[in-house]
Amino acid sequence: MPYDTEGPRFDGRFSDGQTAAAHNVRVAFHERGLVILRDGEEQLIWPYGALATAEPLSTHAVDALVSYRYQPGASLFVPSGGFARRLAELAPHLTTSAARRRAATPWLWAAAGVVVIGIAISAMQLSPARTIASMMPDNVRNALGERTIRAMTEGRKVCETPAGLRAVDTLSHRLTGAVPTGNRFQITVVDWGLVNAFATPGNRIVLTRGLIAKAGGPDEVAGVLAHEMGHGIELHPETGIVRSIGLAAAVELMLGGGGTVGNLGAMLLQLSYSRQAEREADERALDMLRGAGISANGIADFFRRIEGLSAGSNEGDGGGGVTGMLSTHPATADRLRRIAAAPRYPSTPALSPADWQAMKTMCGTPAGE
Amino acid sequence: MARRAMDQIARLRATSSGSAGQLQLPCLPAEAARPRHALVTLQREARVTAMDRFHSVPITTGANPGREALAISWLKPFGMLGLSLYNFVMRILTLGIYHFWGKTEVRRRVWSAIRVNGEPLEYTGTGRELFLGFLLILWGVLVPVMLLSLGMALLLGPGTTAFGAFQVLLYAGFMLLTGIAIHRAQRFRLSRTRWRGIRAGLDGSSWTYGWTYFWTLLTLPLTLGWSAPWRSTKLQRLMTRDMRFGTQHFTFSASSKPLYKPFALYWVAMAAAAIGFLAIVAGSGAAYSTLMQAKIDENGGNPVDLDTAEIAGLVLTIYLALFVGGLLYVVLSAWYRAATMRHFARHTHLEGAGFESTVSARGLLWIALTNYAILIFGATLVTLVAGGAAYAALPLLADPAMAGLDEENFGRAASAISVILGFVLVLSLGMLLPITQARSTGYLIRNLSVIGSLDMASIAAGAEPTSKRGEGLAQAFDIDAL
Ligand SMILES: [Zn+2]
Repeated sequence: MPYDTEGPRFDGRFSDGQTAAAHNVRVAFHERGLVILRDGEEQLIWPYGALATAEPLSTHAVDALVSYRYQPGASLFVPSGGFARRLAELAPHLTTSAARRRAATPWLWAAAGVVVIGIAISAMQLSPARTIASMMPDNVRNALGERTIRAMTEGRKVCETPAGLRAVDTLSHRLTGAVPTGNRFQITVVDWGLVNAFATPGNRIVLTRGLIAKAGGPDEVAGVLAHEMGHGIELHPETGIVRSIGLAAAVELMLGGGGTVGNLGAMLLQLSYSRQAEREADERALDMLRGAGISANGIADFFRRIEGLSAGSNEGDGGGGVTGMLSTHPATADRLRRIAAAPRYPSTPALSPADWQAMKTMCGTPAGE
Repeated sequence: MARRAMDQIARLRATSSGSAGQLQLPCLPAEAARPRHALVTLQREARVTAMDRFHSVPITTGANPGREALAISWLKPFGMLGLSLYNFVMRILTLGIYHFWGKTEVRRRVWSAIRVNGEPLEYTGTGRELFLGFLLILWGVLVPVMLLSLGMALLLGPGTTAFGAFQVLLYAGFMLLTGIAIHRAQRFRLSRTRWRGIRAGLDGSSWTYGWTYFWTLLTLPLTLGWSAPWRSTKLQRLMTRDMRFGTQHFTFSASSKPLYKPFALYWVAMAAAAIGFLAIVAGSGAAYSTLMQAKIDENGGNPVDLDTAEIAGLVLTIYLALFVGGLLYVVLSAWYRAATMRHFARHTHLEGAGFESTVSARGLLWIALTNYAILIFGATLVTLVAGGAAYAALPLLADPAMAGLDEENFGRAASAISVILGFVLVLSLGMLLPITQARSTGYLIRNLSVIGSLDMASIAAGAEPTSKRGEGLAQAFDIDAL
């Protein structure tokens, strides 16, 4: 049934989609759809709503390649900008802006949702990494810790004179026995000039010879040790590893590579804790020190001492970088103030003079010279 | 432009005996309201009209009824800069997901710019297909592989021989997957390419292609690279013979022999460049270790940590070396690559039609270098704007009178800003990719012509495509050519 069409007619090329042959046709706009007039054949009407174009119609279009949902394969090419613009008016879903809106709208909402959830998580101080860390089974934590310690002690001597080990044990038990968390720590002293202390997963702690040498007395070592134990109790090393693995995974996925997550020990060496984590570890440390009757001044004294050392020149005393401890455990003025503000209590020295001497000499050479 | 049009005309005269077009193009309708960019559009329409008049070849010629000569042309797509900027902004706002839809719109425009006898190619793929393909690869390949290697690292310990062996196996697997991905991506693109409603396609097994890709790759180090022409000819033959337009298969008849002369020149140049490059690397490496030893001695024999500036300098040097190396490769390989393209085109046939490419090393180089310049310009612009905005925003946040953030919250806001900034900067390198992709494709198409003719009525539509999963594999490995 022929449709009456008014207005301009356009020349076009029509292919039926069965073969690659094309035929010249005339095309007109009808209120019910696009009318295709073919020589010697029945005319076709393609309703506007079921049309698609090869590229979205823009105001710069110079032609249009049209297809019709219910006649798959068939295509109509009309080399006229006027045709394209008239088609865009009658079938607005074919325009660039409509196509883009369809594509983008759901994802814009999704992205907004993700951002809102992200802000909510950070506002509520939720840490997904910490949740995952707390679900880690003990053998995984121990394996991680062992691997990290091995990476750190590689090529270095572990200091283990019997008297020194006994002194370390005494101090560790005095601290952990004072609080009800029930954590037991395994402490390794390494013959390493760097001034640093690390908590690793699985309740393990590494102290360096440099740290013991730089300490002004047993109270300072006790303060540092209590602080590291605080990190361990709060699962900060585990959380840090989960976070770095997550980050490494994200980076690898973004780069599209397929390598592997690298050396875990090296990863932990580079971890530095957030201010909040430092505060949590300090709070645990202060609890432990009070319970054990050890002065809380030690920890503040120690940080002030190494801060002074790093501010002054490093006079080639063989002590290695004193900045290590400061970079992994930033000692902010805020922290020192909090420690100083802790209530006073009666205290005794953390170690007997004999034990302290044993600790200082446990790495062979009398440390600090 | 005029010269290009003349070339087109000359090529058509040479390849077709047809008379001027039968298709009478309509005059511009006298519309009252022209769109805003009326002048540009008018100019462009005038040009299209001129080109189409020569491209619309009669449906039948006297001697061979049903046969059509083919003329390939490039109609420069309009508004690629606007599209680039729009896609860039939307990718940021949708946290990257719009990437697949933006890419689809770019393809629809680039495909439509390719004209065969004045009629455009059509890209029928969708953003959803690309997105689903990406998800499939992410959760089906990348995440399991990552978990597996994490498990192996914990089980075997990093740095052990067993873990090294595992990594070698892993990389071999990825090489195998790369070949498969190339074939899959090509199949996806071809099966979503139509001309006059007839789909192109790619038959054959992507595993066959992937396996050939993998084992021939192993011959490269064994022959010091001299198997490269043989290898690329072999791979091109596999790929081209799998290709079809409708029901009509492409054929490929090239041997690798003529490629060895340009390859020898390329190989010698690359070898010379590599020796020079290695000398520089070795020299600077020696200088670096001398410097480090001096520092260690100064520190009483204890190892020293590098400070931030030194690490930044080292990283910068490495990136610079990689950049220079990449540039050397692009420049020195241009002659060989151009010769390969011309050679492969000349030996590709579709029924009665053969192809002829006139790409030149100078042309390829010009396109490549200007494309780099365009991409770097875009990234620099974004860096300046985004960095400037962040720099301006930080003091505002820090000022308690303005935002009232305490030290802790200021740190949090600063790190949020740096994450956003990093995300924007990572995306910025690809911002102007639509422009450079259109330029590269345009160059190849303008230099491609068809000799002979095609019996259009005998080319029937092939089967509907079966793969609905997009080309995630290729995207995941970033070897997507276009
Ligand atoms: Zn700490």
